[in-house]
Amino acid sequence: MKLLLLLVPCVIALWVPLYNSIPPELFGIPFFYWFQLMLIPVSALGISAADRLGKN
Amino acid sequence: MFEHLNVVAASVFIFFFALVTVMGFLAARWKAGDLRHLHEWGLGGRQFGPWITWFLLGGDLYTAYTVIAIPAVVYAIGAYGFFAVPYTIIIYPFLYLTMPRLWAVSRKHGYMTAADFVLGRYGNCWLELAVALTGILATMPYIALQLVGLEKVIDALGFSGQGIMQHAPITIAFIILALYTYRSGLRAPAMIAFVKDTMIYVFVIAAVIIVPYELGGFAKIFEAAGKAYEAKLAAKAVPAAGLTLMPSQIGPYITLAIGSAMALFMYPHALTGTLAASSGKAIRFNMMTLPAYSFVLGLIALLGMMAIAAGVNAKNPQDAVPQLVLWAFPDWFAGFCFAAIALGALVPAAIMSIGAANTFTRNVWKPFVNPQMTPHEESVLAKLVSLVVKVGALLVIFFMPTKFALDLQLLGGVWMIQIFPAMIFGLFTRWFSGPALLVGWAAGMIVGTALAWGPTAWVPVHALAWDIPFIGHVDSGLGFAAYNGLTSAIVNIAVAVLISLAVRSTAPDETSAQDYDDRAVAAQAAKRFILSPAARGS
Repeated sequence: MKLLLLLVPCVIALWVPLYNSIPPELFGIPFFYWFQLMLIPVSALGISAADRLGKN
Repeated sequence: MFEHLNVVAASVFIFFFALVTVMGFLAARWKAGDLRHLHEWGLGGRQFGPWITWFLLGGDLYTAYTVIAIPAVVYAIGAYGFFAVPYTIIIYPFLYLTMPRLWAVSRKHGYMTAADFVLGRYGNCWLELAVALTGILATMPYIALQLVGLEKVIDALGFSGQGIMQHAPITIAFIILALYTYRSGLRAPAMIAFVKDTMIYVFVIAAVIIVPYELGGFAKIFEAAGKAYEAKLAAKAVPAAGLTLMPSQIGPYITLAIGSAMALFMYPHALTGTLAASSGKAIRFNMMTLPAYSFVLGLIALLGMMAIAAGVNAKNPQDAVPQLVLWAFPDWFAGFCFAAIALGALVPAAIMSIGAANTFTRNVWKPFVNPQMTPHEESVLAKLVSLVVKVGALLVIFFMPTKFALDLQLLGGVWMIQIFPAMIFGLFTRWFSGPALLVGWAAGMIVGTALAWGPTAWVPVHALAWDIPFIGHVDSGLGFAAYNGLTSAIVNIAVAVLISLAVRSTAPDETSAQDYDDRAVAAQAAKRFILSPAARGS
């Protein structure tokens, strides 16, 4: 579970065909850009969750 | 020389430079320690808590060169430059799993460099030397590139020296930097990093709010950028560009992200920042919070498109961000932004020179020239080497074309990744043998350098099909191009596995399994502290 929380955002980040498109846009920003930017806090939350699991 | 100088911007710029110079010298007394010991000078006494480490590592990894070069790629060809985002996404989970282990074993055995660890783990001094020289070799051009970043913003201030005066400002800046690094060691960049990082955040947040406002929103920015890339493609000015990746760019995009992530924490300066932390907990905290810098880096990348939309016409894409700043902001704030970028050059340059100096002293000079060195002598030598390294970087800028420094930096990443197997696998297993890792390293160095050797220039990516001497054309059939660093690292690992199977090593391993558990190491250290007579005051 801990490894999964760390690994899944990485796999998504490297799965380029998943996000290599312009629509859907957000505030005029193409999907390619906002999706990757949003993935940064998501991956940080994943690490943080893995850390909590690790302590127990 | 000064006739085009932007006086307001230059004054603000000089003010901040003077401020951090004073801080750099005062830093010697911060969290006071005996600076005649290398671990005090070169690792700040290993006592930086979570927040100091956050500023230090952030200031260390997100350099002036990044602030200039990543948006430059976006400015030139668009989506491809965004590879920095997946790169910085995958790096933190990886570091979360590995760096607390490295910190623990280093704390336990007093390791200060990657090569120290490799020697302790594999008992092979040639592998130690290979790791040390790789780090020094890759760091030199990296420092030189910080100077390139510095020079770009000084140019943008309107300074235009001719002949020998051309490099005068960066020479002065670097001499001052060299002097306070000499005196204060890692404490200087750690303290200045607070100022630098805060300024970078202010600059970027202001830019992503004000510039889109001035340009009429993000939709207009992306529309203008998209048109510019299409025009470039139509004119065949570039092989691939666009708001999204073209099929030929996807392989390089993914492999560049993976390879860059593998290489980054092999660099001496990244490890210096990590090992200076006071606990494994401080490192874990940073792996959850450093992504804030990645987010800022993603926004910085977008500055490249804003420059297009703002009509910046830079002959050299690296001028895109400085020119955008001049276009978008009043002079005083432009001076502030340029100072932020300049500090973004000085902080990493200081840490890089310290990392290289620690490595040279501990892993080249001590084992091979003077094994009887005292900690005091180590510190004297490291201080001198930090000066030599900076002078070397200045000479690179004086006498070599910038293109050459860029090429070397590109190769530096490919070289640096070759110590990955020894370092990272070594944190988990001693299955690999020292000699096998050494041969793997050599194979990776040769393959990586050979792949980068293009017909007209050094290239970062290569199709997975090769013309090999004496063998002929070999095609992997995968049909995409990959980052040379990653391809050569795979060769390195394959060789290391095969030779480890054949040649088992009997060399000693001075570490044991529990040395890698940072919580156990911390508990043990606390126990020793309570039991030691010194702690009881007798």
